[in-house]
Order: sequence, then C-alpha cells, then structure tokens
Amino acid sequence: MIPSAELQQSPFLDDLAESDRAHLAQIGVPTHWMPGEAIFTARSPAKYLYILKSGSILLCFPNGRSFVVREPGQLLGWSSLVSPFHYTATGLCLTESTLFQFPNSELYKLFQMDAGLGQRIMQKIATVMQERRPYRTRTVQA
Amino acid sequence: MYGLSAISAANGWLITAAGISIVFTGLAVLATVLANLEKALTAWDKRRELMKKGRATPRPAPTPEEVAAAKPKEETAPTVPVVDLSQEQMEVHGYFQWLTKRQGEIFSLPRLLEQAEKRGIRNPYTHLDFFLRHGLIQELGGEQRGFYRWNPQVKAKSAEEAEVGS
Repeated sequence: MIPSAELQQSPFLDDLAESDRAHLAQIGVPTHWMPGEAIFTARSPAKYLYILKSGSILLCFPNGRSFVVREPGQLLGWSSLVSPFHYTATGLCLTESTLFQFPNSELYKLFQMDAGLGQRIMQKIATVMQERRPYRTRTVQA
Repeated sequence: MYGLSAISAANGWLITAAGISIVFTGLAVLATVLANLEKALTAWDKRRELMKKGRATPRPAPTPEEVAAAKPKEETAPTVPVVDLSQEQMEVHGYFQWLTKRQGEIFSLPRLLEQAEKRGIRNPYTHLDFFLRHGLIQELGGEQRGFYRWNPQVKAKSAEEAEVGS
C-alpha cells in the first residue's frame, strides 16, 4: 500500500478526488529498481501500470527510438489497460528508481465499481498514448 | 675441471651477468611501455588534432595593437557550456563516442547501451543518464524524434584538468 498523499504529487493523479486516490493507493505497491534492470519488456504481457516516484527510466522502443522518463509522477506501462495488453516498449532503469506498481486486474476491479474513475484514468492514458505516438513510428533513421 | 673453476674457465660469470642484464633491461622496457601505453593510446586517438596543430604555421607574435584589438572580441565571444567529468566519466564518454561513431552522427540509445554492456563498460546506464541530464547527448526532433546525437554546443572536460588549470 502507498500513502495516499504520495499519489497527490503525481500530475497524472492530482486532479482526482481524494477518495479515488485512496482507492488507488490501496492497490499500489512501491517497487525499487537498480540501474540496468528492465522493469518491463517490449511485446511481453502487460500486467502492471507504473507511476514514477524517483529515478530515471529509459523507454526503449523496438524501432530503436527511446526517451527518458525522469519527472516524478509520470506514467509507464499504459499498455496494461489497453488491448492487446502487451508493452510497446522496454523500460530500462538508468539510475536507482522507485515506482508505484498497480496490477491491472486490481485496477479493472476498481473501475468496475467506479466507472467514473475508470473513464478519467482512461482519458489520461489516451493523452499519454498520443504524446508518445511519434516514438512508436516504424521509420528507423539510425 | 668441475665447479666454480669450470664456470670461470667457460666465461660463465660473464654470461650470467649478461643474461641478468638482458632480462632486467627487457623487463624495464616492458614496464615503461605498459606505464605509458594509456598516454600513447590517448595520443593516437587525438592524432588528427595533434597533426593539425603541428601543421599550423607559426604566427608572428602579436603587436600590442593587435592584442588590444583582440580583447573586446574575447569578452563578446559566446561561452560554450563545459561539463566537468570525473576520470571514470571521461573514460566512459570516450567509449560512448567510439561506440556511437559506428552508428553514425545520429544514434540509438538502446543500441548504444547494448554495445556498452557487451564490451563490459562500467555503469553505462548511470553514465548515460548523466550525459543526458547535462546535455552532452541531445534528442533530435521531427521525424528523428527518439534518436540522439552528441551536442556540439556542450563540451566535456576532465575535472582533474579543470583543477590543474585553475
């Protein structure tokens, strides 16, 4: 379980109601990763959604593109909530990092009980997907 | 004839001394080569810069007027950001530049990390994060988004050199 106040610092969740954040905090767990560890691998089944607490993660796409996620509160692993539920990138830890991990099965249970929360989260995920779309483009330059 | 007298008669002492000298000299030469190998390899890496410097024709000493005219230019010249690197970072910086040269001017970070891992470079992930945070490596835009290049606007300098310089 994560202290609810910690989730408030995430720009991804800051406009959610306190009760929604409390529900999310109950199903999330903090996870610690060392440099060089792969948090998830491209094309593998996506079971967890992550929110970065601290550290730097390099998202590596199979086409050779990549970008660094280092702002606390940023989202990783949106594929866990979007069909076909396979990660589109590999999450490589560049520095010692802490991430909040949310199992998608628990998130779906939460969304079944509160459709409004599900809709709000999915809208945010759609924005993140759109932002990262250029990285999934197949054209390989290097 | 046996023993020491036999050794003396067959110039044994001289041969022994010569043998010892040869082995000692050989080892001394080997030690000197190994001690200076790093410097020699660094010089080899920078051979083009050194040759350019060597070829440059020596200019006559500037006149006081020229010195005075040059001073305002120095003040207005844009300063290039310099990042001080530790010895280990400097080493990895050199390795990364060598590895990325194989990919071309534009390179992919996952490929760079993969090659660094294969060659056993120490802490490539942490060093890459440092280079990215300090702008030594920059992401490209447009269609090449997600690919990177060495930032020509930012220079890396050994922290030790900086200390000596100051």
